[in-house]
Amino acid sequence: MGQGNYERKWHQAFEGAEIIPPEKLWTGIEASIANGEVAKYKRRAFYYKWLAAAGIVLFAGLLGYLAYQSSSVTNSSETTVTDRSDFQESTPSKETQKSNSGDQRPDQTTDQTSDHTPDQTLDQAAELSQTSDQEESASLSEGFKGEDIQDTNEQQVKQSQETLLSQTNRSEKDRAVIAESGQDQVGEPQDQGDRSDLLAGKHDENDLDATEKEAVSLENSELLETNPTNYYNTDAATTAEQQLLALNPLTPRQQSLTLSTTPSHIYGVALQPTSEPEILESKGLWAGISLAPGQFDPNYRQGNERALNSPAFDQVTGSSFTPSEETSRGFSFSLAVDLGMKLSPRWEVTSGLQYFRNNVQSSTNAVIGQTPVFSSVVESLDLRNSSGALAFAPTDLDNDFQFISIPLQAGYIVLDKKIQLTINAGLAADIFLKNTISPSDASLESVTINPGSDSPYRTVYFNGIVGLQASYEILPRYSITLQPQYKIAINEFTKPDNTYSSLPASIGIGVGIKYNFK
Amino acid sequence: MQRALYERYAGAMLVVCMRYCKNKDDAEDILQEAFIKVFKSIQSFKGDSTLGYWVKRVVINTALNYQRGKLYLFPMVDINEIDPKQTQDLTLSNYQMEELLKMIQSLPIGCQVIFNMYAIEGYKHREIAKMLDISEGTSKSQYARARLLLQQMMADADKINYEKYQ
Repeated sequence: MGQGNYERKWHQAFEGAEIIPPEKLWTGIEASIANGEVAKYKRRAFYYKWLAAAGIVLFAGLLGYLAYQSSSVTNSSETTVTDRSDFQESTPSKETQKSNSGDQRPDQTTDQTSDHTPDQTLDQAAELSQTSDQEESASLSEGFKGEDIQDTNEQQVKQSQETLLSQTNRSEKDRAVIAESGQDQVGEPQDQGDRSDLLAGKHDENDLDATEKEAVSLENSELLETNPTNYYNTDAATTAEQQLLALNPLTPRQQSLTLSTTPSHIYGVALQPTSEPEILESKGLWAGISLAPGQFDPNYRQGNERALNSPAFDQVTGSSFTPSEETSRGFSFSLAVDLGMKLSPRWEVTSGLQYFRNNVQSSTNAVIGQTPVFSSVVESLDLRNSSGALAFAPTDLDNDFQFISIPLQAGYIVLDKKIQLTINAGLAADIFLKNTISPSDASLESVTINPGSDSPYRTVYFNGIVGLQASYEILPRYSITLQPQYKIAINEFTKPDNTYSSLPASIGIGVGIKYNFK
Repeated sequence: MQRALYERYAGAMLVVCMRYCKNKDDAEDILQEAFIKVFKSIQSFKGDSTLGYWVKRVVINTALNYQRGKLYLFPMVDINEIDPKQTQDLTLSNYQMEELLKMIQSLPIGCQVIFNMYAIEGYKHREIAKMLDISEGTSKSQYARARLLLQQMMADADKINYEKYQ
């Protein structure tokens, strides 16, 4: 204290002076300290919340990615076009073994066929069929006969094909004859003893004339071409009966009567108003994004019409062959942008845009392979736009569906606190984008089906949706959401002219973030 | 612990706050804010001084921050009319603490703050100038004006008391 006497007097005047503060002062201090502690915990919790949200989104993304990876195709060469020998090397069959023992020379088979078919055209057709088979046998027994025979056969085949093309394209009659010769190709047990064992030679050549056979063959080929998943015949397919549940809600008058006749004092339950007052001011808008891994079931069902089990198919495959197919449920994931509007304190309507990618695994023993010979014949007959050959070996198929979905749902808000719980139900229009079928066998070509008139699938089909949306507000206006959802088609995904139908169903759990505009 | 600390120092600190304010409500606000700071920053007390002195420093700083805006609204200027002789014979024992508080609260805000800091807290003009971001001369002149005003107040009070007892 360097001050003088004057200052010392003032200092002493206030030394030890006290005024008892009011009690409310301490209450205010205590409350402020408590709020400060809460704010401190909130700041700390803020990071944990975002960390948890990021973890959930990361986990969901990882789950979706793993699901997609596990079901993705291992086929690395989609555009590979292999000859029959390559294909058969990868899928050795009984046919290969038989062809090794049936060592026949092309000239011999031609002579035999010539004896069998007096007509010149038939001779050429028979020659083609014989050389084709011979070429196949040579290819199948590659390494056994050597490449010389194969080259010779291929030259003969090409010459025969050129001659055949020049003649068979002229008239329907010629085509019929060729088809018959094709039947000879299959049905000649002496010339094709190796193959007849496989095909069992159970068909009757006299049952169908050439024109009928061509018609059946054409029909079959078109089915095969436009319906890649229909390479099989699920004889054991069952048709499940669908049960329709009819909901009969009470009318407002009925509700009013019910409530008015219920004495409230009995159970002490307060009567609810028949209708909630509309609050127009509560039109809260929100938008969100979510990622939803889940499960997808194409739910295929076989129709009455026989597809691959037709006589023409029997001719090629032999009646002993039983096509089969199994389709399992697969994984799906979706990325969605959702928009919602609160119509009243309890009701909201939601829509948005969702990208769906669904993947299912199929297993079949009948797929389309490709050989130059078969492709030339088929193209010459104008049966298919692309080439293919039938092969029979267990093959896993990877079915990848892509959709854009536009849902429209009504939601009833059960709980509207920091945690919000909404029950949703509505419709969704699914727009088909693409279906890619990829065999596990790398030597086979993938097939991509795009929407359009040639597609067996409808461009748009409709689904019913039920779901739940639980959201938790982690920040003002920001919420994390958890949305389990079940979706099932209410009309067939496939077009009505198909031999099978599909009513896809999917279930998933979406995780996302929601922003409330207020 | 917090409650005990509060009860130990709250009474004295409320007087300090009232010296820097114009009314009790403001003083209570300052005291509340000051004690919240004390409790939040009690870990920073290293024992270099007594706890009472440290708490008082916190309270004074809070009061200065509270009044800082008003200090800018009423800028302090140098005042030269000082008559030191008039303040030689000062007797404060005749006044109650509440009366002295009222006199101090009646001073202009600049004079009030500087008088408190210099005469009662014991800060030097250099320290006051630094704390309030003013010149040392301004601090001195404001203090002189405060003394003059207080002398006039005491003279008026003495006159009233004299007339009352007559």
